[in-house]
Amino acid sequence: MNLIWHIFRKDARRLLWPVLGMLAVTLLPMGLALISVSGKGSVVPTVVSFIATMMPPFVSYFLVMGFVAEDSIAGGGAFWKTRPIAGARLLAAKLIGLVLLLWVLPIVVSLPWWLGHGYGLHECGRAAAWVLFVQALLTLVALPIAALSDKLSKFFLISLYGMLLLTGVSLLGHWHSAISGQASIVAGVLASQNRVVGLILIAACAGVTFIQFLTRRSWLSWGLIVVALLSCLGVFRFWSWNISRESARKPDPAWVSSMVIRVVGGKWSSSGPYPELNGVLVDCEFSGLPMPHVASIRSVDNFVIWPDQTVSLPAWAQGEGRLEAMALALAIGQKEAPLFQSGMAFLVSDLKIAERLNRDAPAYRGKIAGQFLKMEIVADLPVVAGATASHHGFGVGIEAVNEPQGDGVRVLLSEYAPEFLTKDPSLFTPATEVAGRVHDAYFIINRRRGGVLNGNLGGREEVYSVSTVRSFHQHIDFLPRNSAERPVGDLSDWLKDAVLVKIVFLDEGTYERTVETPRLEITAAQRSESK
Amino acid sequence: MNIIETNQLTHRYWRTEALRGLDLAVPAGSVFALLGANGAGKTTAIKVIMNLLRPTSGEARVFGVDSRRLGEAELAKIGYVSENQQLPLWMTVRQLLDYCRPFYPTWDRALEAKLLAQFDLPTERKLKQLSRGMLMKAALLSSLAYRPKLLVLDEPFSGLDPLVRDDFVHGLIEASELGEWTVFISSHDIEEVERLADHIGLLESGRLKFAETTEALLGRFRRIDVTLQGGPAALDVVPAGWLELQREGDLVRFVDNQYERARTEQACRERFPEGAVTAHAMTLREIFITLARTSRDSLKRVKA
Repeated sequence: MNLIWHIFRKDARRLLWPVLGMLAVTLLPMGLALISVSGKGSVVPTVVSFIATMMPPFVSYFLVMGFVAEDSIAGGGAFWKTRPIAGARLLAAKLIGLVLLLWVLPIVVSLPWWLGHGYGLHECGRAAAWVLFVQALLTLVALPIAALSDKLSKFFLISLYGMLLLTGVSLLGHWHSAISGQASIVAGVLASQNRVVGLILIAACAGVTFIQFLTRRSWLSWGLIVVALLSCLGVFRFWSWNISRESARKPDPAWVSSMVIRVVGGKWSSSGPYPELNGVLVDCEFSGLPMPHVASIRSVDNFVIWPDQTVSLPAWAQGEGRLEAMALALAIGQKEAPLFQSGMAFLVSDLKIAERLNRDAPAYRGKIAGQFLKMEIVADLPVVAGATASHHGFGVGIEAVNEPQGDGVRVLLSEYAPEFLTKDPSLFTPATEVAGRVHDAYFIINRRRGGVLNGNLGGREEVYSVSTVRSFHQHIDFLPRNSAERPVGDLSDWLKDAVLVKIVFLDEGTYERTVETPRLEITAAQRSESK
Repeated sequence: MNIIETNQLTHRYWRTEALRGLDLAVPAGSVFALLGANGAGKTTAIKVIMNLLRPTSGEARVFGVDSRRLGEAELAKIGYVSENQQLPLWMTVRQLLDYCRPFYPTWDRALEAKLLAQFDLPTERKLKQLSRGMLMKAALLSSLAYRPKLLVLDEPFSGLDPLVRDDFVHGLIEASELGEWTVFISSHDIEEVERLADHIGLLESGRLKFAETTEALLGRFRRIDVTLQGGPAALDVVPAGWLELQREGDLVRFVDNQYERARTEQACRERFPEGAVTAHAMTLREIFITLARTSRDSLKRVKA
């Protein structure tokens, strides 16, 4: 064991600067991300950020070659081969070096980044596991190639040819399936094929590594590679079994809507028990106020946007994830409305949503933390028989009792009501005896000043995805609706006197309703056009 | 006892046969020089012996162990210096020694210090900053300090200037006085080998022409001058051991590779009854050149 550490120390000394370079490359995208969201404008070109984000895996990949090239396996002139160093001992030393310097070290330097983004122990563990997975995969692929290469150029060429060959094998396999009438291969079988091919390649990579280090018989390694590629081809051509698990059930919106169930010390937080359900397992903690001029979503595994906007979900859920995204947003929106209704679901504070929405529970425990206001007023606008209304043209008059400027505000519901709220029948089922559709709207109104808060989404957006942290930052200028668009100076202070108003009404009929609060009077009025 | 033995050792690089049925025996305690022109197969032979290459057929045994199975225990007793070896050039001499030391239970710090002083190596200089001669000395030092039982040197003099070469050989000779070992050296630098080797093997196109003690080799080769003094000369049929036979007027010259004074003189008398025979000792270099020329000429004849 001492000799293994001895070899490792030699490698570490030799590769000190390249490893430091790799760490710098790991930290670079984090630094660029921080600069980009620092509030001073987008000073980092997107292409630079992209390159910086893509660099760490490449550097790690070539560092594996650096480790192996130190004691080259291929070629006949390596120093170690004529010294009393067994291949197994060398492999152990290399693996220790790779694990410590390429796997563990990036985790250590990323830890402050994760902690800074509000990651807890569990999240840090998951992020570390992800980094380990990526680095291990890179190592697994690069190690056998490095063991077959006596110089960097050869390593590069074998990597390139390997990618081309694998692509060719995949295309050939699928092309053959297509022309032989197997074009309608079911998704489960396809996934199974990919899984089996993956296993074959992993086994081949491990096999080549061991052969090279333990026996140095390159012809045997190349033989194994050929066999593996032929096996992959065979799998693509002949494999017809579905060994992948069936997709999990979709989450139940009803369950999702029960996430936020109590308020603790000014915070709303969820509590168990979570239903034994495949799907989302979300831990909700709502707390804190946003910064006055910066709304940030930190620690984001994903962010949900109203369905009429861009919906960004984990890739696997893109196809059918809109419903879940909507359900989640709806559920929370129904109980406690989001701060704004301008199209963005969770504009503020921390947001973390499960990445594996449809996987087996409890696959992931996410966290949603946001600024939500509890509704104090719900104005139900009754339908007046025989009246009708068009979709547009609803006016709600809000009169501030103690508003110094006293102008009151008139807003159009359609301007503020998230469109899906008015369309989702599962949430608003009209009474059978009442024709027409339901509309509703949310307003955040300052009791004292009578202002209606509006977010100007013309602000700057920054999105970055660095070392498992996907972050969406949005800078919003908060403007009181009725104050000639004067920015709200201190939003926290402004919100102390705020009340959330929800108005629900049908788009048919004529109605008028006044809601009274101790310091505020809201009059909702509708004069519909007659049919 | 033989430290190295090969038995019908053959190695091919694709279609090129670099070694052809090599049978070699290197006795313990000997300094065995494997000579041969460039491309004769010397380095290939050494690489197979050191398990840097696998034999296509046949086998090589070192310390009685199949070269393909050389393990840490055997390699700990072997010192290897080669012009083709990739030394860790980023290390200083000191770092090289520090790195090598733990691998050898027999590492002798006193010997290391002695050789360091003897070779006059700058310990804190990186290997890549050393001259070629210094580099070879550093490699030699790292291969001697553990008192190997077998020292394998592959073209150690290649590219060294005469002064450094002399230094190197001196170092080797002095070091050899420090312990009992077997030295197996491949080179086409014959003068240096002559100073070192007590056994010589000649490799030609992958085949071993001969292998014997230096003394026996030098003893059986003589350049013979026969002054005819007007008498007859029968040059049609000559013994097979007479090489480079030529006549210039009254002088007949040849190299006898089976020289025994009485037998050679008898053979001369039969062909040159009135000739005066003079035998001259040959250097290893002269012998090597004679053999190389003869081989080249016979190859030409075969091709013709």
